Amino acid sequence: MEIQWSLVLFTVLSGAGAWLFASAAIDELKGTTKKTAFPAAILAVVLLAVGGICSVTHLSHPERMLAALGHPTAGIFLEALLLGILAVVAIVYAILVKREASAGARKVFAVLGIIAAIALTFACGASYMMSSHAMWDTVTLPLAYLGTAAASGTALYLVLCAALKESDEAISFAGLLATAGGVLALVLGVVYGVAGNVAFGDQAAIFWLAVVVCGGVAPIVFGYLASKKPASGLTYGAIAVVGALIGSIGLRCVMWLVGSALMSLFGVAL
Amino acid sequence: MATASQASATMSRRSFVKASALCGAVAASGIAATDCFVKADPARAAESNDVKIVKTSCRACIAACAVLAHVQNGRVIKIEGNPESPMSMGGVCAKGLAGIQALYNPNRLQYPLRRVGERGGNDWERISWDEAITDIATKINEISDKYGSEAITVSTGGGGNPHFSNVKWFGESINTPNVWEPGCAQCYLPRMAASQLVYGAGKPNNLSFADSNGWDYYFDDTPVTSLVLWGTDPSNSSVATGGRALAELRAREQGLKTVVIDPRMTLDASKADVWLPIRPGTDAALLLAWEHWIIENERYDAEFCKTWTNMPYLINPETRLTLKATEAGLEGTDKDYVVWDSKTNQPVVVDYPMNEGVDPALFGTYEVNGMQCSTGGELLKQSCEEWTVEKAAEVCWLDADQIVKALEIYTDPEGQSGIMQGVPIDQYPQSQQCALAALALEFLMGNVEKPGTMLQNFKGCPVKDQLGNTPRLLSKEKVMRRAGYIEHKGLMDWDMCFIPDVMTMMKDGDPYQIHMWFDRSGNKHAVLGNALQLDEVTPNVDCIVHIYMYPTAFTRMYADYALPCTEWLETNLPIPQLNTVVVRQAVTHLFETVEEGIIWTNIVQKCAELGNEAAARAFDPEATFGHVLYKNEYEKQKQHMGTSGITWDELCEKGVMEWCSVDEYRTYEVYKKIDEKTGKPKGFGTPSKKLEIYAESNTILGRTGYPWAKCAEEEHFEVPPASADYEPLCYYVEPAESPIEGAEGYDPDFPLVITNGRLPMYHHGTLRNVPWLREIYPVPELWINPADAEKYGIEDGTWTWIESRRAKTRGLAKVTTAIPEGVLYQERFWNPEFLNSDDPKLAYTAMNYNVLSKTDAPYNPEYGTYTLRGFTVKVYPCPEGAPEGTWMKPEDFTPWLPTPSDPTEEVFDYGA
Amino acid sequence: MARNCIVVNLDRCTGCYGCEVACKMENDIALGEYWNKVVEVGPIGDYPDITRYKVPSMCQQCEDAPCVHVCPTGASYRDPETNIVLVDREKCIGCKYCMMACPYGVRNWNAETKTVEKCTLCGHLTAQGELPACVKSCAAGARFYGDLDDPDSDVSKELARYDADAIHTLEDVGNHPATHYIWSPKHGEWKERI
Repeated sequence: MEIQWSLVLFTVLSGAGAWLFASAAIDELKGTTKKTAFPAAILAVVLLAVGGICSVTHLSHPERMLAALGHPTAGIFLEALLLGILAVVAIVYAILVKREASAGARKVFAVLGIIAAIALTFACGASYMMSSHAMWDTVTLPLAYLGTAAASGTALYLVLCAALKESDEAISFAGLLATAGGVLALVLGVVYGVAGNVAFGDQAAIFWLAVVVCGGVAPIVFGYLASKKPASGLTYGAIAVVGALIGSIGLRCVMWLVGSALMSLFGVAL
Repeated sequence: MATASQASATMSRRSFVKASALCGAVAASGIAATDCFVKADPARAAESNDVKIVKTSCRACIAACAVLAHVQNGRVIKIEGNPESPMSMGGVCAKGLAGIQALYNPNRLQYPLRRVGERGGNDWERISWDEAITDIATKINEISDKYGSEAITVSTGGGGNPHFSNVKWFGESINTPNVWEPGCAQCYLPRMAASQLVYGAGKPNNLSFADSNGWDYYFDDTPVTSLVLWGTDPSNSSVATGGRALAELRAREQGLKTVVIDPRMTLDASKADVWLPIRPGTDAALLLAWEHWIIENERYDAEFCKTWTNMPYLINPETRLTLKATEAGLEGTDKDYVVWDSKTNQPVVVDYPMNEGVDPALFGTYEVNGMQCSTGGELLKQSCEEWTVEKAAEVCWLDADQIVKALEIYTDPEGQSGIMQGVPIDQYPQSQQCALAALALEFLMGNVEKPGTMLQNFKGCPVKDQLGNTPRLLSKEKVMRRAGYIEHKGLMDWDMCFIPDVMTMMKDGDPYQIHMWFDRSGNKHAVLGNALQLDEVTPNVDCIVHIYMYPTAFTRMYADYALPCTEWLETNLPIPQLNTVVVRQAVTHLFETVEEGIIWTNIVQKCAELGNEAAARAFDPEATFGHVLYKNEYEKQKQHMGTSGITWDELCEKGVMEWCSVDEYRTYEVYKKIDEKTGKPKGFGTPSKKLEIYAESNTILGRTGYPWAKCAEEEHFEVPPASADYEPLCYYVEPAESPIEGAEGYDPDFPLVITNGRLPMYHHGTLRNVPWLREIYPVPELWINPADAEKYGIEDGTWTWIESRRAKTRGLAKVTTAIPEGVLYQERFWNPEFLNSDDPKLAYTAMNYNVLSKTDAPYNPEYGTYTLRGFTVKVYPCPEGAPEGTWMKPEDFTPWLPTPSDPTEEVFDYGA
Repeated sequence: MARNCIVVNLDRCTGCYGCEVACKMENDIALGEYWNKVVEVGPIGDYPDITRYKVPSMCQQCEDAPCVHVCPTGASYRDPETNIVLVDREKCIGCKYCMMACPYGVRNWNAETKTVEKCTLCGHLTAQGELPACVKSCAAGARFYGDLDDPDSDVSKELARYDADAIHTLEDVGNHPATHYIWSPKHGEWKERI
């Protein structure tokens, strides 16, 4: 199948945004950062919004979208719903931060945000689980979506922390988060690669280079380096985020390229 | 004629100018050329929007399936099947359903055109019908006066709503014997004429299922248990009639066993019990092996053969004809036949049908009156002596076990079988041999006029779809001037001439020059063998008139006049179908189109008016022996309806009418009916009243022209013999271009043998301009076996050059085991999209099978059949692909989408 | 509930493409677009045990239709009255998820309206007691229309004439296509996935 770029960008950007917010939320629970929480939440909302707009460009009749409200069971509805919830949570959280609300209230929204981020990034992949596509019809696909989104979001958070000159401790923690994100991307990516039969197929090169090396190994290594050497956090973080985004994009591209319907009797290329 | 000017009044100047190139605007810019006609006529717009359903029948091929045309505001908006037809039963194939896109095709010729400027320059002016007819009639009269009327040739073709008999009576009416069509000797004539000679049940009554024989098979109570489809593919060539009938028979509880003999795995072959993918051009070898096996294994019906065939008749070794009583020195006349009585061991004069108490020997050679006389059966046996199944398997590239399996099915003593023989055998020089052998097999098995047999003599319909021609309008002198008349006497059956000689006459003036050519057919380039010869022969022809619904490559390159004729949705004709008559009636009428018969008769009338005495005779009952030429549509329909008692109007209203009951219609064993005059069984329509397995009638034809040589002066006249005897029995000749190493015609440069064959979405050269059909099959597939593909470096789905000893062309390779190793298949094709390009020749050279085929000697002795199938070629990759401008993607055909227009009035008066 | 569908008897089908054209004419389908398309299968096997056939393909009226599940707007829906899977063009947002979800690739993207559409079983004709266009004009009498749950329907009667080993569906990945194809083992193997 052909790569559907609007859908790739939708899940890459919204996934990065979701996990950027989730990273801030984890930090909130731990309480190490100060300055980054607000911009992270705002940037997350921006990424969710841009991602959402990308998905809309895929549609020929976006003006009819409200009809989706009448059909709340489809995957797309769930994605939109989760995206909306996450955005609202992030906005409320940002307001709470701005107004210096009680830690308890912030923590509640942080937890909600983490749950929503996990759910959204999983749901975005779960929409492609279809019996008509054997190479997609595995729960490892949404997990890989989640993993690569986690790597992108956490690495992005590292960059933000470093750029805003958080404390070494905070940067170091963000580095560890990025490493953890990278581990998720690597492990879940490889699991999908094997389960979905793409690791050794036609798209093996993209899979190993983009998804595994760039998307998994790079954030692990450079996230870890950042945690050890917070002073260079910005550089390491930048490398980690570029790698993670390449991995995230790569995974989705591989998914489209290996996508092959059970049958294509009309010979229509999607 | 007044209506022509009415139609023109609706044309804007803009559209008139556009029309100056044949479909130019369409091909060049994708703009419909007919917008002038699309505007709704205000008078009609006021009419109701109700949909009217008109019963008519299709002529996208010859099957004539009954359809319902839905008409709204005068426009045809939908076509569907009419279940009232006993043959098509409501079915219609893709061709028929696409009839709307043919009718409203933006490339329709809309009014008569006269070339201005150079021939081939694509510059035309619109003229009135009056001017066109006067111009053309004047030319006919001038050429007739100056060179003799035989200097005019007339041709037609099977595709695109033609009416076969028209060209014959038109030719006879303007006093030329040189009428032809590329089918004829290459399609159907051999099978029909062979049956007339040796079975004599009249037309058609033969083994061609696609030509609407095999009537018993349209009734599901027919006791047929198996069928041999010998080179025929009803699933492609008669989809909703023959194809449907087989589908119904197969679907019965008892089913239907089939043997398919065809190099191509058609959908009939894929369902067959035995598929024999025969090497093209070798059918005679397999037929001989079947004769051999049946005789050797005594599977023939001995009683039937003794009584109802000429197998036991003794043959005079000197004359090679049946021995007559007078020659045997026995009491009797020179009309009496002689058999050898095995009981008394002596010759006996036959007391028709057979003497009581006599046991006529089917085989053996006996001394009679000092001569060694073999029986017809003995000569048959000798003719196939060497043809064991193993030998045929080797020659035909078949598996011997599969051949035997097929024979067991065909000769199953518990069953009833029949042979359907298709067109391939008509398309190489062994046409008559194969036709005679297949009939001999059916006769041997007694498969004649029994319930469930292919050969039947059911009651004839009083309504005639073909009006017949008037061969006796031509004088003896004139008919003797017909090309190929003496050498290929089988052509006399259809009163047509030998095409290769006509081509030579056009090109070299030998023995005389052809000066004028009328062609009424789809693209001659697609269907005439060795099509590039047209470029060489046409420059010497002074005037060429093309009559068709659309411009073709022929119009574009050679025509001086282009006359628009009607599509089937604009045509009237009654068609007998089993015990019914199905109507084809004009559902609409567009522009200034005219039904071809009306064009022809108006030309003849004008010729006569301008003083052509021969033409005037066409309307004289005495000169035409009662078959006067009609002058208008009304007279035409009266002639078609004949003595049926059904009126044309009544038929139009009912659509499908029974002319007799099914029981009255299905008359079996007609030959056993007692002839009141003689008190004896009627027998068959041969001189012996027997089925002539030993086809002496073929030999007599070659020596004398009997029974088909006729002229104004005599009903039968003797024509000098052909250069060699026509053989009474089948024999095998290796194809002149052979793929067999060591054979005379072998050339290692051309190692593969090629054939063509029907597809369900096209008929002959037609319909390549119909978007719904072209998108299904945009370019011709070249079928090649995987082993050959590997050998010659051809990949599936790639363009491939195919080169014969004459020319090369392209095909899109389809690597498939549906074709055996060593054999290629590609159907005929042409590309109308190139007509208005800078290189219009691409229309017929880019991917046209028939630039490859062969029209030089050897020819079939009887019919002059040339080689359209079973010649040799080579293949190699064509990396440059199809020429730029070839339309392949569905959207490419958008410019040809229909541009519906309102009906116009008929150009010529109806007549009543 | 009714299970209305098309049954195609490939023992009868001659592969003439008439159904493809009938469908285009009836439903005004653009060039290059299809609601019904004849697909070639084979040759399968080696001589003499070799076969090929053509499969007229269209919406298979799945009992558990993936297209309906994935549609975010309900444009792909099951008609409550006839139980037929349909597309409401007015609701389609063009996300094409249903095209991805269809196991057979028998949904059409209408380039003009920019919506998904597919075989409607000619509901506008069947509502008036007529047959779908492809069934009505089938040259080989190979197409049947009706309710599988009604033993008197054309489809049930035709299927009843054949043994189970001659009755097939396209590969079922849990969607349970209602459309059945008849192809007798004597003519050759059935290929579930094409």
